Amino acid sequence: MTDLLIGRDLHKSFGLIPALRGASISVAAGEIVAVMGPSGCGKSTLLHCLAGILAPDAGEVHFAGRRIDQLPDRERVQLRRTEFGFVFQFGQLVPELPAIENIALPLRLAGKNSRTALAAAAGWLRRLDLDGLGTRLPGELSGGQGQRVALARALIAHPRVVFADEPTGSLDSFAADQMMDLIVDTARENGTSVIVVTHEARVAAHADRTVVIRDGLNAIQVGAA
Amino acid sequence: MTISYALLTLLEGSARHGYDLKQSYDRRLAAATKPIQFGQIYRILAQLVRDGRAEVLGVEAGAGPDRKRYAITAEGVTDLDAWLSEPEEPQPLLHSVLFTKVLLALISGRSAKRFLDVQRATHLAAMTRLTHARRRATTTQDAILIDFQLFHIEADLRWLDHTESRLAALAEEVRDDRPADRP
Amino acid sequence: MIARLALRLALAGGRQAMWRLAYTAVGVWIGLTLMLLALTAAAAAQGRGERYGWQDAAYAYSPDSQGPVPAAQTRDGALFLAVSDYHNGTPLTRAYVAALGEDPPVPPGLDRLPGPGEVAVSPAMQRLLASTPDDELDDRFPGEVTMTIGPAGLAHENELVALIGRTPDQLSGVRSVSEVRSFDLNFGGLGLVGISSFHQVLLLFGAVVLLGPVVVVIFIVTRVGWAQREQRLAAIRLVGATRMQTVVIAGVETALAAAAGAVLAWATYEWARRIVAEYFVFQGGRFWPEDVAVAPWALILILAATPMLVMLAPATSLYWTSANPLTVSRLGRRPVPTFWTALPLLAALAGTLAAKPLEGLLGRQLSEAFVMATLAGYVIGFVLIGPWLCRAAGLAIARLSRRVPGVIAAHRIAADPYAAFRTVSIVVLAVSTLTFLGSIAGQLDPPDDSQYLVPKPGVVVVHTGGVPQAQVASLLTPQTVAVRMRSEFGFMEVSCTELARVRYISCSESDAASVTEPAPDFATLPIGQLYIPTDGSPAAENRVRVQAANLVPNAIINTDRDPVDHDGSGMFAGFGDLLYIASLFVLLLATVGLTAGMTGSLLERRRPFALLRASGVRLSELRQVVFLETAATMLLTSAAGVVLGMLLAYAGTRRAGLAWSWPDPEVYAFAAGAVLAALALSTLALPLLNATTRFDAIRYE
Repeated sequence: MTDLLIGRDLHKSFGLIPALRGASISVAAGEIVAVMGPSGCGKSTLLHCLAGILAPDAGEVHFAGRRIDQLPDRERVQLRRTEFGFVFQFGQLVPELPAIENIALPLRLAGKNSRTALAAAAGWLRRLDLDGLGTRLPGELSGGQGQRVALARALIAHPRVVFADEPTGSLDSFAADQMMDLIVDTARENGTSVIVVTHEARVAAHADRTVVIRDGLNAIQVGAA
Repeated sequence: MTISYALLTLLEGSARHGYDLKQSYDRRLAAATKPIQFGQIYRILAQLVRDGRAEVLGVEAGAGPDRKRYAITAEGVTDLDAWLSEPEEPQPLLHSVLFTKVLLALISGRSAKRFLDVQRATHLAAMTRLTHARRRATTTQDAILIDFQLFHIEADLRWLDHTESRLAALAEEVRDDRPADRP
Repeated sequence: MIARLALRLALAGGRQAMWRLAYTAVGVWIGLTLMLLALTAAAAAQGRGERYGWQDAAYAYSPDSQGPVPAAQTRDGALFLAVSDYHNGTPLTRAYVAALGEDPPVPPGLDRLPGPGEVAVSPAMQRLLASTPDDELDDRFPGEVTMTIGPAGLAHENELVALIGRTPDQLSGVRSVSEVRSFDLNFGGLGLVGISSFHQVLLLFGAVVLLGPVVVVIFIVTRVGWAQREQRLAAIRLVGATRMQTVVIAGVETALAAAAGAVLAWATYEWARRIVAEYFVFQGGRFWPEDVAVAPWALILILAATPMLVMLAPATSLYWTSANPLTVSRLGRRPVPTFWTALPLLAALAGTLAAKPLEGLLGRQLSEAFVMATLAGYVIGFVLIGPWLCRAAGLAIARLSRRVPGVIAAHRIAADPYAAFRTVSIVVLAVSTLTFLGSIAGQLDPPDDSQYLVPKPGVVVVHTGGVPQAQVASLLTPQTVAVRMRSEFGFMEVSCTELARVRYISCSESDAASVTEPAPDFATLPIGQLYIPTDGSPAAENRVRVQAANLVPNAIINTDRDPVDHDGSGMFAGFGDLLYIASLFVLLLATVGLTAGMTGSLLERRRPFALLRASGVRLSELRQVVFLETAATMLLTSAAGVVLGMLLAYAGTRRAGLAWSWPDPEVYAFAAGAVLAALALSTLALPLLNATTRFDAIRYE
């Protein structure tokens, strides 16, 4: 099976500080990959390069056979809207919109009218055990509930890859387990690939495969036994 | 078994008498492993000689086991090498062995980093296996048992990471403790 | 559909967002109102000038001169002379015109020239003539009143004007009469009519320097709360909003508030201008209502463009962040202002100094464009150098202060000198404007009039410009004193004892030195001035005036009743008042601007301040931080602003060919007063600090 998302020999520096020094990674369709490493090792930067949020200084990123690291901003935005979904640790929901409208946001930005978008969002509320919470503002939700709203928003446009950056970072261990179970279950159902960045082994253990990054470079790869 | 390797490591540094070995062991390794009796030391030394991993260099005048000087053999070095690079099978309450391995590797002048890397990979693989098993678990009891293992293995992993970040300081300390060369 | 989403987001912000919207709307309201009023003032002055400018046609140009000529000239010319006259102390204009052909130029307000024997008068003059005995006024205008001058040719409804029709023969021998082919003094170029070129420059510089702060106020109030919105926008960008969508979402909120502010501003402007037209008397009369208005196209442009331009502000700031839909802080620092940012200012300065010498090379149009460019260079240069100055102020604080508030203040300034400058920019602009206006004011002193000292009561002074005795023989009585001209250059001779009869002059050593005693050929010289004593009653004076006017039409006739009015110094008097009004306007702007800046920066920085308080910084220390930040930056940049204002004044006066002098101490006092008032105001805003930065107040933001 050819890989869906490939990052090869990626380099990225912020000013004088090198964050990535030649890391590589590949993700097959439907595969769940964890990227582990201590803080500051460049794993978030790797994720951002793969998702087309940042352009790497050197190296290549291929998605579905197409090279995406040098695409103009408009096309990368298009990818983010239709092919990619994002679950980050903080600051990803619009604080002024209620949960259901946050979930519907990608569809509305894509031009769907609000009725269709909100109906689809309501479906996701049910699937992710968020019944009755649709009208609450993000500030009124608990950590776990907020992350599930973020997950719903990430999945509503049926993306092919979900990028999760410390999705359980602010959750207690039980909520974290629940969250990872949810991510894996829904990903398997829809055949979505997932890249999870985490520094916790218990989170990474949910993945099919773990890549350890240290100082901007791949250290070891760990596959499922 | 750990103790025999501890003695081998000390012997690799320099050939010694049994008495010296006990002294060094107490000073440097008793905290990591367990305290040891003289009798145990001679027993283990005898075993090592029988295995061919150690040899008797010479006998001094006088009576008793104290008079013998022991040294490590080439076989012993190879065996020690292998043991120090080999990862342990992850289980709960593994930490003492892990710590000993790291310490001994440093004392013997080897790099502990590679060992840590390999050990980490093994732990991770074990965790992945266990997590997948937990997803398939049908009863909460089974799930919680698996969780028990998972949490402990995770604790080890975190300790591994933690230790790696302090490896340089640990190596310093260990080096300073090395006894001067004996005639 | 993106607009609906944008609208939804704009209105969903809760109370915090409502405050921001209100703040922006009020700021735009005040700013636009001030801008519209300033433009109205300029328009009113322009309108008035256009109406009575025709009276200066004889002085503005002559057909064979090398200077600029009017755009539209008629086939035939007309002989024309306008004289400033008085009746019982009220100024009036007495003008003579004689057509030289079938197609002469016609002043505004008339559809044809009055023919010989006809007189065209303003309605006010008509009423005055009806109520005055003929020999006191009517006879001054030989002919029959047959025409009325319409408003298009009158400065205001009370203006007294009479245009006397003559034959060419009757005017050809009169001094100061010249041939004109147009009464429309619009010379193309900038063409401000009826106002000397110096005042043109004044209005030009003044308009820009006054309008600049208004623009900055609007900019400040629309940028408020930007940081909070950036998080929302980052989230939207992450999920895949295009740049256009992000800009729309970002801009709608501000645009809405700006639109509300614009509507309010329009309403206020309409109300204010009617009040002004109704009650404001300037130089003898109210403005015509249609003059007290901004041109409709300009009005629509300003009101419609402001909300749209306001949406541009997010677009430009988004340009920097749109590359990264994560958080803004990741972007790294904006470039630190270095000394190279001073380059535009220095270039503008060089341009100003070079403007006069280059004028010959460039020609008039290009030269004016060049001046505009240097002016723009000043403004841009100053805006660029401001953050550098703020940064210098921050470094100074760091160097001088050891205590916690100083350290915090220095770091805040260093972290974002651009924001620091924004807060104080209005005050700086205000200070530099005040200095500019104050420096200009020195130019407005009326010229030295020692030659035209006020005569004794009852004495009518007739300045003839030099006529043979025979022409004024009927005015000569034993009581009259004739001052005769030695030469074309106006050297006057008269017996001091004689002069002392009609002027307050003593013939002692010192005073006598200014009077040249008659030479033997005195009686043959032409007469320059005639002093005619009367019994002092207005009627007698007026009768003498009538006589003199008919004998010497070009003569300037004064009594001690007349306010001194030479070479348009009445115009100067009005402008002096205007300057004070302008200064007050600027002061108002300064206070508005600083309040806007401070409130805005408080609104934006609630969270960091609250966190500082929560981690143990005392409220009083926080107040000191805010005060230090503002005071230090304001003082340094205001000092620069004073220098800039003087530079601009220097440039303006040199451009107009006048000599420049240091401004009076009052100007410095005014400027210092503005800074202190602004500082005092800022302390008023400090109590707000307590309420807005309580930690629980910002938890769910």
